[in-house]
Parts: sequence; C-alpha cells; structure tokens
Amino acid sequence: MGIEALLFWIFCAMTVVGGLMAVLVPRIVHAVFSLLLCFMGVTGIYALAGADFLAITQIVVYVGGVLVLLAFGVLLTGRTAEVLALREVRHRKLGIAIGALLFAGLLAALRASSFVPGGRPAGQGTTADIGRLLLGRYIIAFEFASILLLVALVGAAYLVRRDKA
Amino acid sequence: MTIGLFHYLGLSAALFSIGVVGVVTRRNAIGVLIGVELILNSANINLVGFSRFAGGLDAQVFAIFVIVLAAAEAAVALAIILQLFDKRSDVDVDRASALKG
Repeated sequence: MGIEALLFWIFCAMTVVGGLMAVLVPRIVHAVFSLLLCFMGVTGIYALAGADFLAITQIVVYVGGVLVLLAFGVLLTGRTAEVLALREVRHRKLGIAIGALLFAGLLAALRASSFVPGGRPAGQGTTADIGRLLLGRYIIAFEFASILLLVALVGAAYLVRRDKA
Repeated sequence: MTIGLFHYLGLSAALFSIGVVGVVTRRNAIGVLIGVELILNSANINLVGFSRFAGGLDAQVFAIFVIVLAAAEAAVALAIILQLFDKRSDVDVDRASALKG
C-alpha cells in the first residue's frame, strides 16, 4: 500500500468518524467539536487530491468561520430545559436505515457507472490558475457571490435585531 | 491498491448519507444545520475528485462557490435559529410549526 493510499484511508476515517459522531452524539456541543474532526479530514482529502487552495479555504471558512458560528449558536441558545430535552432524537432507527439504504443505493449506482479518467498531474499549485479563472471566465458568478454575501450579512443582522420598528 | 475516482465518490456518498441521517433525526435546529453542512462538504469532495481525475480546475472553482453559499447559509440559518429561540426559548424543529397549513 502506497503512502497516498495510506493517507487517503486515514483522512477518510477522520471524515467518516467525525461525521458519524457529529450526527449521532446526544449533546450538540460534542457534535460541533466532532464536526472539527470531520472538516480536518475533508481538508486532508483536498490536499491529497492536489487542491491546495481549496484545502486552505476549507480551514479558513469552515473551521474559522462556520464552526465558530455554530459554537456561538449553541452558546446563545442557552441551556433551558426545552433545549436540553432536545438531546434525544426522533426516529433514530428509521433515520439510520434511510441513511444506510441511501448509501447502498449510491454505491450501487457508482459501481454501475463508468468514468473515463483523464488525469491531471498533481503536485503543481492551483492558486494562480484558480485566480485567473475566478477573475476571467467566472467573473459574473464571482461578482454575484460577493453580492450574495453582502445580502446574507445584512439579512442576518436584520433578522437578529431586537428593536423591530 | 491505488486510490481512484471511485474512492473519492464513495467517500462523498458516505458523507452525504451521514448528513441526511443528521437532517432527518435531529430535533435541535443546530443539529439539522450540522447535517446540511456535511451534505455540502460531500458535494465538494465529489467536485474535487472529478477535478483530480478528469482534469481541469473548473470543478474547484465551483467548489469555492459552494463554500461561499455554505457560509452565507450558515449565517442566515443561525440568525433565524436565534430569533426562534428569542421568541419561543426553544429550538425544536418539530414544534416550530406556526406556518403549517
């Protein structure tokens, strides 16, 4: 087994174990911290696939942004009796059965399909080329994404406002 | 054994299924949000796998847009959850049914 396969399986285990814990542990704080393990595993997968810029973005946006936001959400929704009672989940067995069925179906579909691999030599940086694509071919989408972020920022600030006129 | 596109897509399928389990079983709204984040990450693993084995960087640019959408979605969803908690001191997705027909 080569070093690439070994690393892939390690990151794969991190992703799947972290994801499973994030979904199955009863306390929501523990779920948020398991999500950290999962995101680090995904980062490793990106780095292994030669997507270095995406790996850094994953750490900055997900670990530095979304996870902190989720932690604040857990913090601000307090420890009232109603929230603590939510530790129990509903239809756990049915949910896991649905997930397992979905996974089996997706794997069967993957096995049945054939992809023709082209291949891109890994190991060369992608940042410069991604920058050219973002400001070249995808400039419209890039600008719309910045408008979307602005709208989301204003919308989130408006939604949590207390003194509604 | 070499790692091929199938392995990336299989990992993505596993993470997607895990995320779906989280979305359907959690009662805490933040737990549902965690499930959605897992699903979006699985989509990105798919895109990165295709970029690695089919060549081209367009898939990675698409993955960047997915990350941007995920960040915006998390911010707005958390604002809604906080407002829900402010109104009802409760973040149960089953009991937030005031708009149900």
